[in-house]
Amino acid sequence: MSRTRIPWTQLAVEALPAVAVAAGVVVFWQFAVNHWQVPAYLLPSPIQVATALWEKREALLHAFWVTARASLAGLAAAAVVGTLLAIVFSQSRIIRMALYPYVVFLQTVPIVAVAPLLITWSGYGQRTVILVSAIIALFPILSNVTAGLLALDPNHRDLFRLYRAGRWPTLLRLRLPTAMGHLALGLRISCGLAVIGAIVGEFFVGRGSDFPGLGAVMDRWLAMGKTDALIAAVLLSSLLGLLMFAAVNLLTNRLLHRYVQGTGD
Amino acid sequence: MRFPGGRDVLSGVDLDVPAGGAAALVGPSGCGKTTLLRCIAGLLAPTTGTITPRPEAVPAGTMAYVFQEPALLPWLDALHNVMLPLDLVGRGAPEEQRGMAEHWLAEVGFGRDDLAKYPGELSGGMKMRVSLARALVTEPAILLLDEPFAALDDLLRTKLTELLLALHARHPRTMVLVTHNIAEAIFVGDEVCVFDHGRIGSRVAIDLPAPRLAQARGGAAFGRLYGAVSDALAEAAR
Repeated sequence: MSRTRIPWTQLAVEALPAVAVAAGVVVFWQFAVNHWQVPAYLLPSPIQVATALWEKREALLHAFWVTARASLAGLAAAAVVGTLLAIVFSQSRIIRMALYPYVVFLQTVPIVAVAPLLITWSGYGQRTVILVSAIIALFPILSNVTAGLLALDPNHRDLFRLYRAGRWPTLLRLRLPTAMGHLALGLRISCGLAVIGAIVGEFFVGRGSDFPGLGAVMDRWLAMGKTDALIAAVLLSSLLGLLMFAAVNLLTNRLLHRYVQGTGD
Repeated sequence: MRFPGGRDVLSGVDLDVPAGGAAALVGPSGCGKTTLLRCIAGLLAPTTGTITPRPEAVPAGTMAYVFQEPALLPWLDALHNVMLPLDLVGRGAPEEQRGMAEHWLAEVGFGRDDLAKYPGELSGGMKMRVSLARALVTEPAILLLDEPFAALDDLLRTKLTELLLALHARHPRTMVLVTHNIAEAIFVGDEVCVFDHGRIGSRVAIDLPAPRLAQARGGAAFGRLYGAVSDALAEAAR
């Protein structure tokens, strides 16, 4: 089967309204700052933000790279741990009943409350940032993969039972492949969360230190009143989230498209 | 056979299919045909009564089941879908499994050029051929078919029924077919059992000579049998 070609023209047409809104916001923003003479420390103009972006490009790009690495590592750790935990959860209803409430509890604890504790245990470093990122990104992957491992097509389940496939062959040949589509969905939800987690982690880890991630430089520039650079960093954070989403989407579409096709009936 | 809630799905069913013979089960929806098939396969345990051979007592791969949907694994190509049962029952080295899968795919008329195609790239008829080959690849002694061609158009259905009969003639095995199609039941079965509210209400012996082909539909013998099964079904639906 030939791979579907990307309809660039159609995509451009579909993106046009959103781009027009963004352009309108920027134009209004510039006009509002000039017209009402808003102080730069409160709201710098788009041109001032663009200038800060250019002038601090080295620091920003480095911070972008540091945060991107931490987010990717956090997402990867969440994917591995989430999938392994989901496999454990899928093995028995008792295990799910015993452990799932704690996973939900972990999810409801605000990460900003946990981050200082994690620093106490794991120290002021990249490791803690990755840990915060992974904790935030874990739940969607865990819940989706668990659901996928349990959502077998009844005919497929009967087929494996008929040939008396044991627990491991069923897991490896049926449950895990069935759950791949759910893993892709979990990764898509979690990639944005991984970026948020990394930035939150950097806020805490970078406080009072020279940690170079986006969260840390934002915290520093906030303290120095450099709102133009702060907004530039916020824009780069959003860009990082979008790039992560696009990369995960592309990767899962390429690698997992067979698993996301349905049952083939 | 009693389902949770106390509803008797099957009661007093006595079905004896001689080795190498074929029985067709027909009846209104919900009368217990599929439940009986699942009990024979060992996918459901009967509340009372016995099934011989006991499903758990025969080696894995002795029984095969063809579902109403092809139920192919979408992440495996046609060849590997057919190799799967051999792998699950641990029969043969990978090369032997490949050879057996290719043999049975050829037997069901699946083209060599399509072996590497995935289920999403196959038509309904091709998927059902793969499903049939997957059931036959372990060379089961008992073949259970649960409305296997129900989702196909009439022409393809007739073609695949003839294929099933040809395969049965070449490689005789015990068959139990569940179907809503009277003609299909008459073509395949040596006996047609008409289900009536969880029991076998009547049995019609099929004395059509082999080979049974679609052309026989116009014959007087076929018409007589069709009428008998049809009357029994009408009685069961009352």
